[in-house]
Amino acid sequence: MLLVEDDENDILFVQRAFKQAGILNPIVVARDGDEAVAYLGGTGTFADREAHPLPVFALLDLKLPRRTGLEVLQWVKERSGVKRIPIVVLTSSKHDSDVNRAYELGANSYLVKPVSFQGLMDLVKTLQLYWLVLNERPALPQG
Amino acid sequence: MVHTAHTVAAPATASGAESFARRGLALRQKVPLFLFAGLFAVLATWTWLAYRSVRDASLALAHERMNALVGEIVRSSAVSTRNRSNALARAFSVAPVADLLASGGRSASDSAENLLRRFAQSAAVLRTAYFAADGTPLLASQRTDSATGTAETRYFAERHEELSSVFRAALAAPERVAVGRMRVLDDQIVIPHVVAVFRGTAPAGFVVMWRRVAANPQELQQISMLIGSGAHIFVGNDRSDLWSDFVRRREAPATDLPATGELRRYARLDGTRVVAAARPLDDTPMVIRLELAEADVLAPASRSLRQSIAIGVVLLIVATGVSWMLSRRITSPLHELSAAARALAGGDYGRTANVSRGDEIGEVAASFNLMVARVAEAHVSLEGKVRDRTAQLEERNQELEAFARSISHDLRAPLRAMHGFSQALIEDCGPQLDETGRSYATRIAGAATRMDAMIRDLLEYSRVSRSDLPLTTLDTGAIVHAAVSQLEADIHSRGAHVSVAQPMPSVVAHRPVLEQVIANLVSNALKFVAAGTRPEITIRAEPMGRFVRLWVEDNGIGVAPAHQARIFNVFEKLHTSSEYAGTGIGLAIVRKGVERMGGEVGVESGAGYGSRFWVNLQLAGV
Repeated sequence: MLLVEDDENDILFVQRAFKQAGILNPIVVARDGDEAVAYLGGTGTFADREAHPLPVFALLDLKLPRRTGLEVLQWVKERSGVKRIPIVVLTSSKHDSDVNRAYELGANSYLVKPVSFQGLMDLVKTLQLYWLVLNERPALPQG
Repeated sequence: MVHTAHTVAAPATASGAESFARRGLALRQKVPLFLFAGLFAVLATWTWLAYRSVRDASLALAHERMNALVGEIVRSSAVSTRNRSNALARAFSVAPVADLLASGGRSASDSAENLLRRFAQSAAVLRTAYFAADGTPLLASQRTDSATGTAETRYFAERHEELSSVFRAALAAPERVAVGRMRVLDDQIVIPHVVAVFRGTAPAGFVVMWRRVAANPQELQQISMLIGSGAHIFVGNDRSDLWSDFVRRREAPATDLPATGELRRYARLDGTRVVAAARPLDDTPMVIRLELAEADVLAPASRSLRQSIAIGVVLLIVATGVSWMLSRRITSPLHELSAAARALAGGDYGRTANVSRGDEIGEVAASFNLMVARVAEAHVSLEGKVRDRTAQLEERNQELEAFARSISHDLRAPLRAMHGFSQALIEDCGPQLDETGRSYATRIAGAATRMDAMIRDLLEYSRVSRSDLPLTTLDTGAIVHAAVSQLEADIHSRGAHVSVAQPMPSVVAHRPVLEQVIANLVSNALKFVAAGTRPEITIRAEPMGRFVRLWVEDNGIGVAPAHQARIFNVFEKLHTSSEYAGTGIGLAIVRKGVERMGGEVGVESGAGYGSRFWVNLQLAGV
């Protein structure tokens, strides 16, 4: 699972939430848009797919340094193969324009970060249940 | 009750000046009309005065002429009468005649008879006669045969009483002659000439010659040449009992005319108007009267009047025509200017007044065209400015949006951290914390939550403040229900009872904003109740002309009049967070949102008496 998020606190919270929810899937963190693209594209340090496998789904924040979440989304959903990866936007922006643009670019879902930790826990549990358990995953390119 | 005033700028109307109704006559008609009227008055007065003066002059001239004529006739008649009388007197003042007269006709004398006969033979004489001194008729002679001119003498016995006064006059006269009044004798008008014959100093008798008052054709022609063809001359007794026109007897003239020579104007019996004067014939009891046809006398005046009228009419027509053309020359450019001005008022900035003249009107037109050009320039520059301003505002709006977005994201991140870590602190380090520590952590979490609520409300307030709020017709009831169902959980947990009065008229508003407004009001109604009280909320609509007033009435703690204005301000709270939680922005959002939808908001309340918040919204369909 790929978590694209720049805020250290938020990263900590998400990891903690998953841990408390008992989800043991490994979480890869990309701290900016370029890193996310590099990872998903398998370039640079992430060329080794054995060490850096493609995630089964990604949580994407929109406000990122270097490359915005929407740009990353667009990049991913244009590339054959990786565009199958379900991407859930997890951001604090509730603006209609962001929501609509995200869906236009092909986001699979749009979630707003809750303020309370309990809210985050519930969200994480639901995410795991839906996307990791119930959802049928697509086949991903191995190379 | 206090409500916020929301002013809607009234559009400046020019409806009073849009429609101009011409009253009265147009200038184009007024000028020639007045000129016509004025000129007519002047010309009519002048013509009348001129006619009068010419007429008076003509009459005066006629008077003079008539006096001269009549005087001439009188003089010549006097002369001839005197001559005739003297001739008579000379002829008959002889001894034989005196003898005959004194003897009463017994002493007949051939010479006396022949004398009588001789005078009787004259064509102008009707009869001659001898009378005794006492008036007894003696001998008369009259022509019997006009062709041969013979006259016979005979004794006659008719007395002529009317001659007695003439006899007396003859006796008294120095020349012993007198002329008597005209009379009709044998169907002819005659004048008696009387000679008193004396024998010594005693009167012997009288000789009377009745002369005809008749003129021969020559004389008539002369007379008519003298007096003119339209004139009539009459001779009559001073008693006015007998008149003649020197041809035949005439009836008396229509009016009496004193024989003083003064001019009189009257109409003859046949209707002809005449100017007349009369004078007595000297040494006779007769009067001569001259009548001139008035038409002849006044002919020059009439002619001059006709000429004046003709000239006047022509002058009037020409002047009116010229003034009409002139007024057209003035009003046409005025029409053009007026049309161009209207075009400008209607928004046509390209229309100029098409007037090319060098005078004042041309100046007005040139100034007008200059004005149009300036107005067009100003219009263009204004439009440019408006465009620039709008672009500026758009930019500002977008900046504000970006600003709000960044607030939403960047301000919330630390909040999440605060909340999350305080929670994590309690959960993960709970055993190491005492009560105080745990309560501190809880307070941190609480503060973070409140701040998030405030940010959320501030974002909502700024969203509502944006100017682009398109209004549409909405089903008020449906929106009220939607707002209430948003708060379903809260309503349920408080056991509140919300009743919505149906039906509600449709309003013109913005759906999300209206929903937010109602939700905020209901949320307040649910929140601000006394402890232990079950909230009772009523939502109803009251039509008010062009508006619909939505009431949200509750049984809560109420608002004191002193605070009723403040509560609609941003961040204004009447209670501490521990009494009633809240951001203090809810009612500010309500007021801003309602104002943006063209309405007003207010409250009727008193501390402890519940509150009735009202919102005015535009009625749909008006």
